[in-house]
Amino acid sequence: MASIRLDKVSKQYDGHDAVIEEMDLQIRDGELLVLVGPSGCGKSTLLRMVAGLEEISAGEILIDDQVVNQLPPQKRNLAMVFQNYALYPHMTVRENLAFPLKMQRLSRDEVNRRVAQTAELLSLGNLLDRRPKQLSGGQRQRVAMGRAMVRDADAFLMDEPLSNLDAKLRVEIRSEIAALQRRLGITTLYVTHDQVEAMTLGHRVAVMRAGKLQQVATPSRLYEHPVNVFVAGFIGNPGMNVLRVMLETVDKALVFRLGEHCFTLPQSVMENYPDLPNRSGQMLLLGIRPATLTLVESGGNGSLEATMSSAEPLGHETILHVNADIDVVATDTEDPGNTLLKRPTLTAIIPGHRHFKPGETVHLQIDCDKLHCFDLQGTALAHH
Amino acid sequence: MRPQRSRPGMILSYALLSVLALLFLTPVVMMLTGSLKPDERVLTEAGTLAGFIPDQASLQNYTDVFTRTDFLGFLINSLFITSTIVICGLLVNALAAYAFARLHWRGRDLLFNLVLALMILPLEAIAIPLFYGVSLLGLRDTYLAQILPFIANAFSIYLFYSFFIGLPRELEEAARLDGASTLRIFFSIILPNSKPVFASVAILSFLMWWGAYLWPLMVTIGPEVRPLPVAIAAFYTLPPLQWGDILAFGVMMVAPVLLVFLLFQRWFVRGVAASGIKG
Ligand SMILES: Nc1ncnc2c1ncn2[C@@H]1O[C@H](COP(=O)(O)OP(=O)(O)OP(=O)(O)O)[C@@H](O)[C@H]1O
Ligand SMILES: [Mg+2]
Repeated sequence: MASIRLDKVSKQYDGHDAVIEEMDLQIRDGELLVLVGPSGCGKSTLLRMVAGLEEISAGEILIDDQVVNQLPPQKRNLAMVFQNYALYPHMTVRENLAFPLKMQRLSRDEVNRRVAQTAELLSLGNLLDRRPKQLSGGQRQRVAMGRAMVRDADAFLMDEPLSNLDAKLRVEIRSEIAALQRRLGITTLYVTHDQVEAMTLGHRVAVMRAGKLQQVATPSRLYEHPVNVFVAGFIGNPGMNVLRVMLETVDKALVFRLGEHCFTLPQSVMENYPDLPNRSGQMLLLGIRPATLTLVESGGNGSLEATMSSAEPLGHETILHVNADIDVVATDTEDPGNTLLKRPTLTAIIPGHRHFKPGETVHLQIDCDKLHCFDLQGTALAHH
Repeated sequence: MRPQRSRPGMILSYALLSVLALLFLTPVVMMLTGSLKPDERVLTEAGTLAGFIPDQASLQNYTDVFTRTDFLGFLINSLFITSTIVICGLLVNALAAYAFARLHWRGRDLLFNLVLALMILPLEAIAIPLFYGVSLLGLRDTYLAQILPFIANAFSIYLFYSFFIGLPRELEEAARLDGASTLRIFFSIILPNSKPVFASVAILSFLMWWGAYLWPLMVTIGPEVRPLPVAIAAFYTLPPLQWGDILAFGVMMVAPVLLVFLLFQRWFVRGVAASGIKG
């Protein structure tokens, strides 16, 4: 077992902009840390640098407090599961599992014993004499896991190990991986672009964007206290709505206007964000989780009139996309405060299986107690 | 899938292909039938349809070849020289190509471009300086002179290179993480997954050196290390001139080539397709 630490690690390919910028990250002993971010943000690059497959441009990578920058991959004692599994096509499952052990020059008995043990653990017993070509996607995935587990690696590195599987299998193997990791207690760095995977698997989740670390926290902390609108918009399924509003003081209360209605910031929000009163008369970004929007019959105070754009009934809940006359900002830009969506769309999740006509007028109630506040640059306001 | 051609188009292309096949096959068939005929009928029937009909076939010409020359000796020379070039060449060129395709070292790209440039250099252009070098080393009239200069081959390196570069990198990376050294990766991971390209390089270089004439003619003096192509030329000048015998010699010289090709044809076609040089 081992801990892995990244100290101001940067990566730059010749003649290109930096892919990873001054990344600090610690993966604790026995922890499953998920690295998540949109496609192209540098997750794989980072993982490959830890593995030793990619050179580091600056900074240090430490395994158990030892700098490994100069250590070749085979000396780092890490095991990796690749996105396409990278099983050796000309070897049977048994030979695939035995390969890392043979490289360690273990005795034949020991090799057989460990292969059998791993096969048992992953229920690969009846597949041992097959070639990778003769396996289903899920079985290949398990063999790849097995090849990583069969030797006593100090840590696992996994690069989107589930992305080649269908949705149902993904959920199944996801929980298998979680259970295995818990059982083996092995330090794991897991890369994915799927935030659901991140939230369900990770003890902690590191969110990356364009080569920069945004936030490292437990899934619940990430969900409840995103440090900026990018994390807010990325985490959650679907992500947070972020609106730009003008904060005003009316009768000693802080209010903001959405459409025709005036919403008063409740006491709880005022307590959460002590800095709010100083921002009266300024623009502010407000985050609203889709699940905190509810459908109400008619427009009373505290509700927003909107037109239905589309609805996705999922069975136990329905995701609504509605348009309203408000300023909705894009969460994945450098300057969210000044990047408004051309077509202001809010997302809401309502319970039950419901159908709507496009263009239908609906009224949404906002639960103001659960608002998140960000400044115009998208950074969360100081929080209690 | 290519779209279905129209019927007249099909007929036309079949007709064309048949003519081509006929053109290619005619000399081979004539050689074979001629080799089975009594000597005096070979030339007289050469231009006629009778040239193709081996009535009264006999193996007399074949036994003549063995009694009049040391055919077996030449065959062994050819087999030894060619297979040594092929086998050593597979190893050397594949390793070189792997170093070009996957390892990082100073001057790699420059050197690789040089190797590519060598591909267009015909043997004839370097034959004289090469001959000079071989003479200086005192290697004339040896096997070594016929083998050594041709083991490393730019075209083989290129074929291997373009195959290796297309192999999934992750396989090698996985092996590296599993603790394998570079050589181990080459022999345990790359090689078993590259059979088609090894087969095509083997066939191509076998064909190339089996038929080599100019260079062996230059460096061999006596019959001891002489390969078949030089031997058949010498046989041709050996009086009395007997066409039937020469054709029989030719048949026996071509047979191993056909055999090798038929054996590995399946691999060969795949390898050539995979390395992207079609047509
Ligand atoms: N050899 C290279 N030369 C230049 N740029 C590269 C190279 N390899 C990767 N990049 C760039 O580095 C960035 C990060 O790539 P990386 O593969 O790490 O992304 P990722 O987060 O894993 O994306 P995905 O989720 O699609 O796998 C990308 O913008 C990519 O274009
Ligand atoms: Mg990736």
